[in-house]
Amino acid sequence: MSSYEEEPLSHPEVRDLDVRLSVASFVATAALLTFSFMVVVRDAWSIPSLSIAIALMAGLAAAAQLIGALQLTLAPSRRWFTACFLLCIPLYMLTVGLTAWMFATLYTRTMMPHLMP
Amino acid sequence: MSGQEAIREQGLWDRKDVHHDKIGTHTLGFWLYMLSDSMVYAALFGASVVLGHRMNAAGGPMGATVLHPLSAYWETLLLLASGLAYGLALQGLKRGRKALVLAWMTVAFLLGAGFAALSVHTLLALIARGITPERSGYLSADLALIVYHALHIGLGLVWFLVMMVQVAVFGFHPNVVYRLLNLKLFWFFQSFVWVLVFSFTYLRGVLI
Amino acid sequence: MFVHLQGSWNPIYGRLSLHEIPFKTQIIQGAFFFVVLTALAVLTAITYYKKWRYLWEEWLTSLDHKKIGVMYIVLGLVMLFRGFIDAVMIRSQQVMAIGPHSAGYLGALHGYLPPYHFDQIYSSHGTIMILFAITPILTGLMAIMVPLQIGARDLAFPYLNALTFYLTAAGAALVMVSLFVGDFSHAGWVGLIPLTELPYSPDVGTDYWMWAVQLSGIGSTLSSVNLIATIIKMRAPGMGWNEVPIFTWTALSTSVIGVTAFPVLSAALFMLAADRYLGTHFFTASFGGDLMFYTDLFWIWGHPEVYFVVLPAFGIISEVIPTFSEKALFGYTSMAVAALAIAGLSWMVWLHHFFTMGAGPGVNLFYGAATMLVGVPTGVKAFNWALTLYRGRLRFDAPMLWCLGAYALLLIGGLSGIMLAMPAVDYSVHNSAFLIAHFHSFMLLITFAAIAGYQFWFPKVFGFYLDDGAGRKAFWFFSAGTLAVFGSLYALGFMGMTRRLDYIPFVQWRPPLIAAEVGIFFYCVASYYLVRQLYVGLRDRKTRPAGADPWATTRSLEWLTWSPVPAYNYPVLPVVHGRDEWAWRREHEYVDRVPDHYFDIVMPKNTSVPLLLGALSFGLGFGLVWRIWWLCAVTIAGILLVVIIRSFDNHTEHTLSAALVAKLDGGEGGLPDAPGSVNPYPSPMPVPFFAKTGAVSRCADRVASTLREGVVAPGPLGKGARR
Ligand code: HEM
Ligand SMILES: [Cu+2]
Repeated sequence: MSSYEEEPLSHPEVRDLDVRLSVASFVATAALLTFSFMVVVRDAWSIPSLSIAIALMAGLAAAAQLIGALQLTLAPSRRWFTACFLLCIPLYMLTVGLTAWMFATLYTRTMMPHLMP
Repeated sequence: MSGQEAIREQGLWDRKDVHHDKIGTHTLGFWLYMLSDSMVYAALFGASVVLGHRMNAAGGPMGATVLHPLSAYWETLLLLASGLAYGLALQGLKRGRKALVLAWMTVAFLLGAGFAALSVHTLLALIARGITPERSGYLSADLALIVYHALHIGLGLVWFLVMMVQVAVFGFHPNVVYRLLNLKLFWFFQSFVWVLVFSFTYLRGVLI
Repeated sequence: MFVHLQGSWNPIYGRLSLHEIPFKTQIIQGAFFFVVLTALAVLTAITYYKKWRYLWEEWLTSLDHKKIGVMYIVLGLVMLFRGFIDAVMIRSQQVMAIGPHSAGYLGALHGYLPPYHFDQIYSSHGTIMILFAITPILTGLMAIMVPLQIGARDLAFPYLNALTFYLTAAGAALVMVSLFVGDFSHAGWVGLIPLTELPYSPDVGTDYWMWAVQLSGIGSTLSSVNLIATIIKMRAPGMGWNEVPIFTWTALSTSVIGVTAFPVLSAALFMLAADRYLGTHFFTASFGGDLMFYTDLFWIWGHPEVYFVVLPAFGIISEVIPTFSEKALFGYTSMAVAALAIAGLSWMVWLHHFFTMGAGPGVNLFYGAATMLVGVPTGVKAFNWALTLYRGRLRFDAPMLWCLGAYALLLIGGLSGIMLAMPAVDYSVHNSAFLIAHFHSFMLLITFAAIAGYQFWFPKVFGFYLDDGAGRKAFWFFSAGTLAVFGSLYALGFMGMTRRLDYIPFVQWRPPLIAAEVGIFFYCVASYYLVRQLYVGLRDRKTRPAGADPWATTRSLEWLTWSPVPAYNYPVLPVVHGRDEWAWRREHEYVDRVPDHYFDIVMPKNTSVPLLLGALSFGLGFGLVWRIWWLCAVTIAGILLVVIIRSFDNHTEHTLSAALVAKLDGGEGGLPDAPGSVNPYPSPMPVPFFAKTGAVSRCADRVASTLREGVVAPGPLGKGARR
């Protein structure tokens, strides 16, 4: 096992680097974001459907970045990275989601309703 | 397994001269740090949700007056391209080709610097128009997210320079290798965050 | 961009000027002279005994996780003392300032503290106790024990370990400096908003609080990163997840909280700083800010934080109880799962700290229910301990007593917590003395457990025993104090007393307040015995050396190596055969600590860079507090530069040859059981100077007199297993 110290380039994390993944994620992300950019600046649809489109594209592009660029895959050398990230996702949802929820109810109860969006 | 068997199989003391995987430990540790940083981003996204209502703009500018999707779009392309260039640099690392690494890192650095220049430019333009974070809670939240991301990019650029020197001086020393891998995590994580910033702050933001 | 401040400012000193030193107040004068005299005494002693070099080489620049852990604990104890003084002052003010006819001294209308000073005292009490006393003590214990428990030579990042220590120390130093230069926050440890905003607190107190907490928070995040990486990557051969000792499990779940929750605090404080320094409107009451959003962010961190400190305490209890019950921990798996479940659940309950904000009923309902859910894994732990005790051969050594005390407090605090978790109940007792009593039950649980951990592992780390008798006396007085103070506070809560009162309007509250003051007296006696325990231990260290297995019934891996623990922890990494490896080896009589082969060991070299970075961060914090911009610029540039320069050093490690290890370890030609006694290897050896001369004896020489004969194998005597 100590050989990685002498031969750092033989380390699995170096071996598992994959330029094809980088290229693919670049292409995918750029295409997805271009799409949502275009529909927004052209005002193609109604606001709700635009929001959905943006969120959808953002989700896909983010996934492309995570899997392609950051290589969060199931390869043995990457497993812990993937697992740690997956464990954080609920926390993002709690932090942003529950916060949004509580303030939404707070605002409707305490603020002037006509100021609400 | 009975005690005797276990002893016969493995012994009481390590016989293989086990060494801990330094590179793997450092990259994992750095990834954990990146995840902790991602919670700061989560809090900032939370801020832009909570402070994203019309009343939070306090009568000041909002949405399309502040945010320019077009320049953000160019920024997006620059950052993604910089990531791609760094991916190619890492391909050079895999092959053990120092010159390739240095060349592509220079490209990645320049593209990243382009991103930084563009975002500094837009920020300065906003300030020149009197659109500053002091104006409202809404602007504070949105600009904080953008500036926090830009700060990362700035630090990343410094890191690029340092690593280019280290590759040139030390070659592929284990320390250099794990730092290159960490830089990869750092840089690509910023593009990941930027995808979200671009989509939700810029594109979704101009819809209000 | 920078906000306009009232008052004077100049480019060199910022807001600092001579009359910021509050020399008018007698109390601060007293504190000042006390601190200066103590510091002088310590410095003189070090100089007189010529220990500067020793201090520098063996401690301040050391990257040895045991030494850094000890420094963490010493820092925590110093701050604990400071926090205790604050507590005494709070209690005394409240007992003196009852009713309109109570006398006033030292310029106060009632009691002896004017409101503004009183507010600073409770704010610093909370901040210090939670962030600078309990947290460093527990972090120190984890930094020492986790590598030992998993059979590693050090933490994954020894250099980072030192750095996080110095960041915490820099934060603590900022708090201490605030005593004498400027003042401290008066907005509570939670930073009551919008009181912390510039218009309401234009002085530097809030800034001190903010930057001190920020520094220590960054330290905690990074030390959690370190612990997780260590536990995932550095376990000894043979140690799968099923064999990880339970304290390490709790350290892991605590660190998960540390990595994820502390950044939210950082974010909240950065936003607050932006409000105060750049004039943004995150939390302001006007211009579209939302002050409840601060409260939200603070408690997103704040609630996980309370579990961040309680989980290691649970871990300590889970190590001590089996040892002194002479049997394995009941329900290992459920214990580990419960620890992780607590860490997970702690993330979805934070709104219970502001039920009264007035979010919709659905929200309060959700958070109330989620809060009660946390009771489930906590209950699992409580029952597992009960079942471990059940039919065990109980021995009441001091650490065990402290753990049982902690156990009792868990029940009290947990049950009052469940009461608070009902929104309807909480509306009437929110911010009352009842709440204070609730969380102090938990904070004292942690203190009890921390003291237990200190007494339990002390012989391991230093190689000699603490005095057991004094330890028990301390326990009884400490418990009496806890009962008197917090029993009274529960009662006062039901009588309707709110928290943070500098003046008590109702004379009916006098009796419990007096009882609480008596409790403080008991605490003082307990502190005396704690000091005495250490003193007697030090005095008798030569006659009472502890073997590797000082309690003779210990179980996990850390007891397998020498006491005091050698710098490299294990001469050769042990192979783990099951849970409770040491108990297994003892039962199978594989008790020899001297392996028959050795390898080279790679160890980190000493470095002063972390100390330098800590000093620079202190400078940065100080510069930010006083708005000395040049100092901020210089320190930031300094930090960047130091980090970069250090990254060019590829020679941060050195190798101990196998032959040397063999010699040190008592193998070929060395002295069998005395690591450190012939130490040609200069610096990172473990033996503290005061123990160096002690005859570090054979392991488990002391077959505990409390042990009934023939119950346990008296520990490793011969070299039987050597083949
Ligand atoms: C495990 C260790 C625990 C610790 C260290 C702890 C600590 C605290 C602290 C510090 C506060 C008060 C914050 C403030 O207002 O300044 C608090 C409040 C509270 N705790 Fe705990 N707690 C713990 C466990 C629990 C449990 C198990 C429950 C319930 C199942 C609980 C329920 C509550 C509730 C509902 C409040 C809010 C009360 C209010 O502000 O009105 N806690 N706790
Ligand atoms: Cu809580």
